[in-house]
Amino acid sequence: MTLAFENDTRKVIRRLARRSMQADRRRSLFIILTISLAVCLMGMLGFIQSARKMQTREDIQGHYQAGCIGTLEEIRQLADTGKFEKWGYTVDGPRIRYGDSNLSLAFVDPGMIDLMKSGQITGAYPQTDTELCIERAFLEHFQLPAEPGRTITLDLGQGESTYTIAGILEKENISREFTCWLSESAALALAGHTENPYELRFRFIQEQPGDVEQLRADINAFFREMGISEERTFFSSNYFEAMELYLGSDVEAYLLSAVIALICAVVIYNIFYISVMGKMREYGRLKVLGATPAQLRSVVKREQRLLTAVSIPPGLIAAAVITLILMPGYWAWADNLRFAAVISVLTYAMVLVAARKPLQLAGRVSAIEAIRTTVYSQQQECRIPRHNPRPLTLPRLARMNFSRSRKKAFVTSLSLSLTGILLLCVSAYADSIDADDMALSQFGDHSAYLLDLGPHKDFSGPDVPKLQQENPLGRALQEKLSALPGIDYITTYDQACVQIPEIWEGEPFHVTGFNEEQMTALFTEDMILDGFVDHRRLLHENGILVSPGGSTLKTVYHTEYQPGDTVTLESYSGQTKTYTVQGIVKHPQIGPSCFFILPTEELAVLYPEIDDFTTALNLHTKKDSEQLRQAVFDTVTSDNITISVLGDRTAEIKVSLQDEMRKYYGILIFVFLFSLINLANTLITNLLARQQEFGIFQSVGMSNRQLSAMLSYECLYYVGITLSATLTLGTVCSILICRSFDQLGLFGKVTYHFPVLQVTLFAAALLLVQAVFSICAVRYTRKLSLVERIKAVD
Amino acid sequence: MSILQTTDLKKYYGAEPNITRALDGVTFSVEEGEFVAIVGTSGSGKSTLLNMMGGLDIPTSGSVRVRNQELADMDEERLTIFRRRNIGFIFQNYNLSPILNVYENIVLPVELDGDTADKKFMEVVISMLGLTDKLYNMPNNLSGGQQQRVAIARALVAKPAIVLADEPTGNLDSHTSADVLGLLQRTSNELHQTIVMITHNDSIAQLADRIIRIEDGRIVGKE
Repeated sequence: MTLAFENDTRKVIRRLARRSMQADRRRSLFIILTISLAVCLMGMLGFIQSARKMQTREDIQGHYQAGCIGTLEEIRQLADTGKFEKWGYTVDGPRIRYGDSNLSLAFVDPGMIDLMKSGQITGAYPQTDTELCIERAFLEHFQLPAEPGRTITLDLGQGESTYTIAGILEKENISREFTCWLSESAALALAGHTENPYELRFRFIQEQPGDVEQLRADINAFFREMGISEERTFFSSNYFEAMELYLGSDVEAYLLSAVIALICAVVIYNIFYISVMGKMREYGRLKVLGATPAQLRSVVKREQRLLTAVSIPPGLIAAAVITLILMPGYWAWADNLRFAAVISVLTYAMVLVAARKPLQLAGRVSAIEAIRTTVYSQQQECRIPRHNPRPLTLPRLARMNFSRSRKKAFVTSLSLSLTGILLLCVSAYADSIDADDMALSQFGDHSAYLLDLGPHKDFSGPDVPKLQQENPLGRALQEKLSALPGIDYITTYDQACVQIPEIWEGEPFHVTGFNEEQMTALFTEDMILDGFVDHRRLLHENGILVSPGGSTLKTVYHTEYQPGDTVTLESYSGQTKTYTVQGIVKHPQIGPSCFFILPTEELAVLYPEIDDFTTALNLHTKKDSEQLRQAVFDTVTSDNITISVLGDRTAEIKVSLQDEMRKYYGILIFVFLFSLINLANTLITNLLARQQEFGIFQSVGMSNRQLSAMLSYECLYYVGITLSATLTLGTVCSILICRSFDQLGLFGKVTYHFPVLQVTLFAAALLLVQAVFSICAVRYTRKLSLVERIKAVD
Repeated sequence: MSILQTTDLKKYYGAEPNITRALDGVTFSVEEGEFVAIVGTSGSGKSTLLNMMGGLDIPTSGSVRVRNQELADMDEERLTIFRRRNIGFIFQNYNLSPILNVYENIVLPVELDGDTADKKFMEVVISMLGLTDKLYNMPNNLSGGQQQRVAIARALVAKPAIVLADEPTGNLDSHTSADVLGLLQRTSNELHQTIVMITHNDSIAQLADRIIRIEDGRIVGKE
């Protein structure tokens, strides 16, 4: 700001800044490239994060909001009201077993395929009872002909028949849970004589979008108006309750952005520092001519602002383009504009901080010092022993050059080393995680197979006690499974399904029952968060344990319990009993999850008519095999049992780990690029500033080969320091990270593995840079004749 | 015995009609142990001639022979090695390496050759040039005259066939100039070193054994 009594010097400052940038195009280019890259990477993190959120939201909200079961007529009546934005219906058939996999049979109308985004069909939807549409993954798994028009023989529950493949369902599936769509009549025949075979799902046309409570009330009113009883209706809990749980937070993106900003700041600091040091003479001349420190600072500041302003838009545009390529159709304007604003401010702040010291240097320069300053000025501080008989070898000459500007060398090595350390940490983590162990730590009670009661994983509600009356997981099956060769032992867990109206009217809740032995084994001291666990007292004092599952109970059901609170459980057969919370416990890993735990004996109080409450059966084996898998699937004939296999979970984890690691390696490549920009800037600046010196060396007899070797050694010092830091600090950090994760136990057992391949590739990349640099440096040097170089003045 | 010979040496820049003839048919020779001064005004071509003699620049035509070896016949690598063994340079702006101390600057050409300096000879040179106390100083900490002495020592230490000095006193005051020129004379006399010095100053040239005058790229007189 120019005060009234001051002369306006903004014009000359503007001109000086502009000319300075024009004169030092290489430096400007490096800064623009660095900032743009950083902005691009931060932008990508933000934009992709918001795209993923949008996709998740769309996946959850876009599917359906509510639905009901009924007859086809009822469904048509409902749809004809015109109140639905989108709708579709299905007829669910049974879930049959095929080989070692499960096959869910259903009729799905085109509206439902669109509503549920069920996947693309190659071919056509089956129209007759002898046609079907089946997943490609299923056909490939069983090596069946994967072409529409081909025939396959299947037993869909009514004996083996030959079916024509009308269509192939294209969707990603790495599990052995497959889908098979049938014609409407075929599905109706398989569904049996149910009163309401059709299931309708829809999205309601909202008058006030976003008001979920109003929406729920409107849908309820609509159902009442149309005469659909409440027990035939259902609402999407994902849509109405658990949205935030799925969306996650932006914290990860912001944290990663901060790390990128930090690394970028180191690079920008170095580039500005080198630039200001190189311009000391110029600043000195300006000072001799009357430029004040404030004016000199203004020149540098203006350059800084202009460069930042020029760099941010291309970075954001590149990030947007990459995001649109990676996730087309998921562009969230509001979120992305917010991210872009935050990134721009963060970038500007980062440049301000990074350029602060060089700015001060420019302002503090004294005229005479500046004129005396050369690129070698710092050499005055160098102390060489008085008696120094060591020969002048090329590595020694290179070391002298390397250490002439220690700060520059340090910052360049720092940014490269940071990359190396990050690489080692990420790759050691990737190599050390054992997907098998990780899966085991999340699966069943560390078993190889988990058998759940019910035709599907989410089986719940009044059908559970009905099924338990003739429990398919009962003793007979347990004995058969125990007798299978390869099965070491089996464990069983009991649950009952109840209602707890005080939490949520109509919502089914599972209550786990443990006997005294199980309770003692599972609830060791570290598992108890509050209160106490005593089987006898639970039994005699009508006690109950609550396992809030982290914050799930609070987040989804907005409920919290403390010891002393009461919980009233209502069984579907009409029994009601109130329990007092005696302890808050961590969730024991048994397979099925639940929020409430009772002594086993109490389950019979709630359901006196049930003898066997088994809901989960874990099969343990030391050595799983395809034969065992086949034997288990062959033994479990009931469609009311869901089989989950540890091997499938492991495969899923491996895929998701690969995705995760791809993301981190992508970020690392960007970080490596920053470091390379920094290294290139340092080396090129050195090269340009030392043309005269090289001329001197060559005039007294240094050959091109020797010059090339000297420059190679110089670059090798950066490579050497980087690799040393990577191998020492990186190894320590990676070991600590792996140990921390191992202790947390979230990812199973983490056994440290040094990432030999990744570190070798990193070293090779650095050596390649070194080789390319020495070749280019000598080529560049040759462009000027020796005489021109000797005469060169800065 | 002739240690350096130039024959019809030409160096042209550009093309007709704007051709610049920096050197236009220069022929002369320097005998072993001679101290020759090449005198000319600014732009006369004297520095170009020195660069040609030292193999720093390539002539358009003609020949330069040092110790009977034709410089034009050598590739860059061979020429560099020949230069560090046979030609010493003293530049107007000293051209010392700022990262090396005085001692290291002096021994640089020898050590680049993978050799070690002749200690006795070096002691003689260093003592003659008065650098004994300055051996471990950095060039930045020396005066102009001291830096030029270091440059002279560096030029001499490899016992070259010829020392080429390009305006060695151009950056020095008159007192220091006299000092440096005296040293060059002593070097020539006491070490029997062949020296070719370029200068625009006639009175400085008078200190040499022989003067060659150059004007517009041609030799216009020999004294």
